[in-house]
Amino acid sequence: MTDVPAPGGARTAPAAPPRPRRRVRVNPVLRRELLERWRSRRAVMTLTIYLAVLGGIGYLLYRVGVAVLTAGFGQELDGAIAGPLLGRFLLEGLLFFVLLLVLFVSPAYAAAQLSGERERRTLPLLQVTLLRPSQIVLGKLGAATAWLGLLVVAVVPIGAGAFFLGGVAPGDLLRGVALVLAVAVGVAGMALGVSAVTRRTTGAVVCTYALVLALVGGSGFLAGVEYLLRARDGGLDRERPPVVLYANPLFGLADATRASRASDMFGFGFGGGLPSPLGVIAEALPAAGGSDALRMDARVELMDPTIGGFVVPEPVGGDVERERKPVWLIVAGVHLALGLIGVGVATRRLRHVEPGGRRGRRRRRRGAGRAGGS
Amino acid sequence: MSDSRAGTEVAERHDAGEPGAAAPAVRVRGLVKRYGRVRAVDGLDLDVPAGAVFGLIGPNGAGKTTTMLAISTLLDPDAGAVEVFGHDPVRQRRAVRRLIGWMPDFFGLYEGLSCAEYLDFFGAAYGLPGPLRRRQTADLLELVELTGKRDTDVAGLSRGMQQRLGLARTLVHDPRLLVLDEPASGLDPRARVDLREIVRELARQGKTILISSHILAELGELCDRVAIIEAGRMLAQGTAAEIRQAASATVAVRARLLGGEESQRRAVAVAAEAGASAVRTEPDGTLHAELPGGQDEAADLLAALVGAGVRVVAFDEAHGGLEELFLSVTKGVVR
Ligand SMILES: Nc1ncnc2c1ncn2[C@@H]1O[C@H](COP(=O)(O)OP(=O)(O)OP(=O)(O)O)[C@@H](O)[C@H]1O
Ligand SMILES: [Mg+2]
Repeated sequence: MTDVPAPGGARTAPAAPPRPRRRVRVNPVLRRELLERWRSRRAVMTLTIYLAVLGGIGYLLYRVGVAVLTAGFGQELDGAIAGPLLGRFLLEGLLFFVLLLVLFVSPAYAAAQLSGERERRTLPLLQVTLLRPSQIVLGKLGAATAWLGLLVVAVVPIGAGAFFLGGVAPGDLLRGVALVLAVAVGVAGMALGVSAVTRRTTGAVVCTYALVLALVGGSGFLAGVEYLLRARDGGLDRERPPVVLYANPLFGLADATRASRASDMFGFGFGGGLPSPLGVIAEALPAAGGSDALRMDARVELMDPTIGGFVVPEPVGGDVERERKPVWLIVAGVHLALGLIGVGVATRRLRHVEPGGRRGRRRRRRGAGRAGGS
Repeated sequence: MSDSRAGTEVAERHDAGEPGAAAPAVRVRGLVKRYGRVRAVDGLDLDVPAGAVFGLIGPNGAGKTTTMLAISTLLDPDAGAVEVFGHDPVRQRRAVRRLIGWMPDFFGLYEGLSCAEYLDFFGAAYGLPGPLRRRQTADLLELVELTGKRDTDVAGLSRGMQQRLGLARTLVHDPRLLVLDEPASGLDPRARVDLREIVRELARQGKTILISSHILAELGELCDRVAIIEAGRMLAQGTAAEIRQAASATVAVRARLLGGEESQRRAVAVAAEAGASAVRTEPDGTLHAELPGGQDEAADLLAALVGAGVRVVAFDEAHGGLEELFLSVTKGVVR
C-alpha cells in the first residue's frame, strides 16, 4: 500500500462535462436484472423445458380432441368436420394454459423483485443513488415482464399450428397473446405495489396471489350473484355483462379468442363438441360477435359435405366485427390500469427508506415547512 | 425507459457543490429522530469541516447509524436541521446525493454480478456515461486492490474484500463527502491497516470523510476530529487530545483491599463521602471509583481509606489508553 493510485477518472472528467448525447440508455436496474438472470444456464434450461412442455401440451390437446371426437362420431374422422373443432380446442386450451401460467408465475416473480431487494439490503443502496424511484420500479417491471413476455410469446409458433386445423383466425391468436401480455404486465405492476408495501417476500407473494384470486374467482363469483339477482328480477340482459367481469382475465381471453360458448357446444347437434376451458365464461360475453359468425360458417361447412379439406374460415366479417364490443380491450385496459396503480404505490413507497408510514411523514412535512419559513 | 437526463445531472454535479463551497461539509443542529418511544438521536449538534476526517464514536445503539442516514438523505429527521455543503438532505435530496458517498454497515450483495459489473451498475445508477464508467471501475478496483478479482462473483468475496468493494462503490460518482458506517467492523488487523491507508489517501485527495466506529483507538490517529456520542447525545467533540484532556477532569482509581465484605462496605462509604461516583467493588476485593479532580483528590481518598481503618494493599490510577478514555466518557446508558 505504498503507491495508491487515485480514482482519478471521475475527478477530472465531470469538470469537462461530456455533452449529453441523445443515446437511448437502458434503465440500469433493468439492465442489471437481465444480466443477472438471463445469462445463467438455468435461464436457458428453463426456457427449453418450457417450450418442450408447451409443445407437449399442444400435442396432448390435439390427441385428446381427436379421441373425444372419434368417440363422438363413432367412426373415422372427417378432417373437414373435425379440423375447425380441433383448431379451436387447441388454441383456446393453449392460451388458457399460458394465462394460468402467467397468473401463477407473475405474482411470485414480480413480488420478489422489490422485497427481495429489501431482503438483500440493496434497496437503500439504490435509493441513495441518483436513480429516481420511478426508474427503480419501472426497471423492475421491465425485468419481470421481459421474462414473462418471452414465455407468453413462445406460445405463438405452437398456437399457430391451430391455423392448419382450421376454425381459428390469426387474429384470435394475436388478440389472445396480446391480452395475456397485458394481464402479465398488469399483475406484475400490482405485485410490485404489494411488494413495496409488505415487509417480506413471502408476505408479498401471498398477498399478490390473493389479489389474483380475487380477480379471477372473486369477480366470477360476484358475476354469478349478479346473474342470480337479474334472473329473479326477470331477464338476464345478455348484452350487458356484469361490470366486475371486466376485471376477470378469463373473460377477456374468451373474447379475445372468440371462444365458443358452452351452450353452443352442446347444441351442436352431433354430440361431439369439444369442451372449451373458456366456454362457461364466454356465456357472459355480449351476444353480437364474431364468434357467432364463425360458428355459423363452421356449421354451414360442416353440413355441406361437398366442401373438403381444411377449412380456413375468414370468419369475422367486417360488419359483425364493427358492432362487437371490444371486451378484451377493456379487460386489458383494466389490468394495465391496476398495474399502473401498483407501480404508483411502489414509486411512492420508494421515496423513503424508513419504517413506519403516514403519521411520520405528515409530521415531517410540517417540520420541513417550519424550517423553510424561518 | 431511457434516461437522457442523467448525463446532464452529472454535468451539473460540480455546480451543485458551489453554493456550499465555503460551508462546512456537514452541519447538524438539534437533530432529533424517534423510533416510537426511543429517541435514537436526541438533539445532536455536529460540525464536520470540509476536508476533515471526522470520527463518530459511540457504543451500540448510540445513534451513529441514524445520524449518518439523516445526513445521507435516507432518513428524514423529526426535528432539527442538517446541511451537507449547504444543502438540505430533505428538500434537496438529489443535490445531496450527488455530493455524498454512503457506505452502510452492511454489504448489499447482488449474486451473479462480478466486481466490475457491480461497480458498473452503480456507476450507471449515478448516470455516468459508459466510457467514464469503465475507466472509473478500473481505477477504483485498483484503489481498493481488487483488480485481480474484477471478474469474480461478488458473492464469492471475503468479508474484507466485500468491505473494500463497498468502499469503491461509494466512490463511483466521485463524491466530496464520504459517509462510512463502521467500515472496519469485522476486518482483521491487516485489513484495518489497509483500510486506514485508503482512507488517508482519499483524504489527501481532498475528500471529507465521516467515519463511525465503536472503538476510539481505531480512529484516534486517523481522524482530525472525533465526536463521542451516546444515547443520541453528544458527549465530547474535538481532537483526540482535547477529549483526553476534558476526560481527565475526573480521575479513575482502583484499590485492592483486604478484610472481606465489612472492609469493602466501609471503603464504599468512605469513597462516597469523598465525592466519588461509579463506586463498585469486585468479589476479589478490588474497589473502583471515579473522583472529580485529579491526583490530589486520589491521594486524599487513599488517606481517608487508611484513616478509616481499611487495609489497602494496592492503590493506583486507572489511567488511560483510548479504550479507558472511551469507557470513562460514555456512561454505558442502555435503552
Ligand atoms: N429501524 C429502527 N426501528 C426502531 N428502532 C431503531 C431503528 N433503527 C435504530 N433504532 C434504535 O435507535 C437507536 C440508535 O440506533 P443506531 O443504529 O443509530 O445506533 P448505532 O450507534 O449505529 O449502533 P451500532 O453501533 O449498534 O450500529 C437504537 O436504540 C436502536 O434500537
Ligand atoms: Mg450502526
